Amino acid sequence: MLYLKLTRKNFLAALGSFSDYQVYAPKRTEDKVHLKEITILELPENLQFERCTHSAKELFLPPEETLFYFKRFSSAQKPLLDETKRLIIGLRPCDARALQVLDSNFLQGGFDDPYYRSRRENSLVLTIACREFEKTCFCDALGLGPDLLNGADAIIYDLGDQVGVLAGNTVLAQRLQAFALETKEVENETQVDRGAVPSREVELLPVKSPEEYFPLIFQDKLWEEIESACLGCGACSYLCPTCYCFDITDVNLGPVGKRIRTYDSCMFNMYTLEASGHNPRPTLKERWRQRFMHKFSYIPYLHGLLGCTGCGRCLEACPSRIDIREVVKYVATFTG
Amino acid sequence: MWQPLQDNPYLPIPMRVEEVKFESEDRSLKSLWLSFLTEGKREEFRFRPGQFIELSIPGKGESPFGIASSPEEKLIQITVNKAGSVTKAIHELDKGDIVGLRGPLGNWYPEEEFVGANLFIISGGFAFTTLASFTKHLLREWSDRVKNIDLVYGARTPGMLLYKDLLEEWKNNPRLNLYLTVDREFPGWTGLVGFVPDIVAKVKVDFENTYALICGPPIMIRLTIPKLLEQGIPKNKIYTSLERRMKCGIGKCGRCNIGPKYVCKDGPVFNFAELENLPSEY
Repeated sequence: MLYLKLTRKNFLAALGSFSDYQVYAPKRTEDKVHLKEITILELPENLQFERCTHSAKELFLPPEETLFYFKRFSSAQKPLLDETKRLIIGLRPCDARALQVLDSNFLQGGFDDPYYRSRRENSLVLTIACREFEKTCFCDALGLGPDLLNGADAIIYDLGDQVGVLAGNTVLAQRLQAFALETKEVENETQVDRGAVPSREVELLPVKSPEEYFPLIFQDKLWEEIESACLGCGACSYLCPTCYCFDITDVNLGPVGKRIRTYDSCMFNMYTLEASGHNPRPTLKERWRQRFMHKFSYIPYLHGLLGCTGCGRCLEACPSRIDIREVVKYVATFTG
Repeated sequence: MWQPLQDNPYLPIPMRVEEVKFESEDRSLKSLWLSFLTEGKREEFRFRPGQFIELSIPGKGESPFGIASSPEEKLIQITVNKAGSVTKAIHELDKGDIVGLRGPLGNWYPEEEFVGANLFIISGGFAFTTLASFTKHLLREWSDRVKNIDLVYGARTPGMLLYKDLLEEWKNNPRLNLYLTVDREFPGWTGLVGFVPDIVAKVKVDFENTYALICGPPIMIRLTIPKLLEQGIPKNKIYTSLERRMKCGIGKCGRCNIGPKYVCKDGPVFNFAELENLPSEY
């Protein structure tokens, strides 16, 4: 990893050299903040961005994407891979953490997802270290932090007149180097000047090891308690930066058609309903077990990292005000 | 790790329907035989009994099906139960139609493990597909490497039994003890009468060093397992194949998991020792 210090002006000038990239940054429209395509000149000089209402997954796993068009199937079927070069700036460390979770699903496990890979490999992700905790943030309670590089290509620290950039991506580091006041090779975040990083007293959530959760999959009473508050609307999974489950369907467009994939949610009955009428997860009890265990047990078990980033979006979105932190605590104390 | 045939695992390979045939008297079950449009693809398409494919019709969508043909056969056979919109469209296919195939997907019956052992194959209804593939493969290629082979196969009525020609052939095959059963007496039926679990309990099978392969409706499996355990077959020697609403077939889309296992990728074949540690979501 390379750490660089640059003046703000030079940092923006360095970004200007990515003229072949589409630039995306969080932008407020009315009450929502979304990732929007902008020009480098539109970047705010203070490099402060609001946290996105939706997560960054939209740019890597869009709510709907076309896998291919067809008239009839032929051996000449061409996949529609999105190879747009993107420079995404202003995301948060939790968004970059979520990309690591998405990577673990789409790029590991023995199979590769070419659509996700193409977007991921053609994107440069520059996060900013958070200057304060929002009301619903809890990355620190999961042992993560507002100043970590995570799955980003670089993280930007606010140093007053200057910015500090910790770059994991060597190509990006090289480009910035020409504009830097000073550079040094480092191993991790703790070795660099990170400016004013927010910190607070926080109680770590009692997250168990993946295997410790396994016996709970048989405790029906636990999940019945939790399901009783849930409406099954799926808002949590649509906003969750790590929820990646999808459906594949065909759309007819007159003489041609397209095969698309769209977000799906384990909170829905249709997600697992079989043609025979049998549903292996027939009620919200099984679906809650699935959603919770996927984040806190199955992903950690399979890929070695927690499936929750502590971004807090689900807390804000839930119409029943279900707080996943409380669920983690409740599950930890459950004795049957 | 197995790999599907295509580089992009979401792209179907074009296939031509070579033959269609109703398998059951109520015309709810239909077999299709498919050939590859591209020369050389059949040789590249190496699968083992137990694996499945995703078959799709442009504009209608995709559904998973166990492969019913054995690896030695040139055409790829599937047997489709008319249940939803995709399977309804598949039933309307005819010779010459072009469909898409992705696969082979999933794991298989671990035949290496069965060498030197007895095999007890148990199936009911239209779940017989991949076990039929397995049995054909077994009889053709390596029956000399296992000891006794017993096969119990049942359906509601004689007319609902799949692959009747094959069953006729197997009746005369000395290498296999075949027990065909239907739920009640029917005029002209000379086979056994009774539910599969009861037949399993009655047939004289050597349970020493035996593997059981079982595939059928959940209720049949649930009632048969205790009979096998009573006979002393350990859980890790009882294999089954699970069915789920699978979409991507490569463990990405998320829906077919049971605990940390994906039926499409880690299965569909599991033994009961494995299933015992997972939530009963199947």
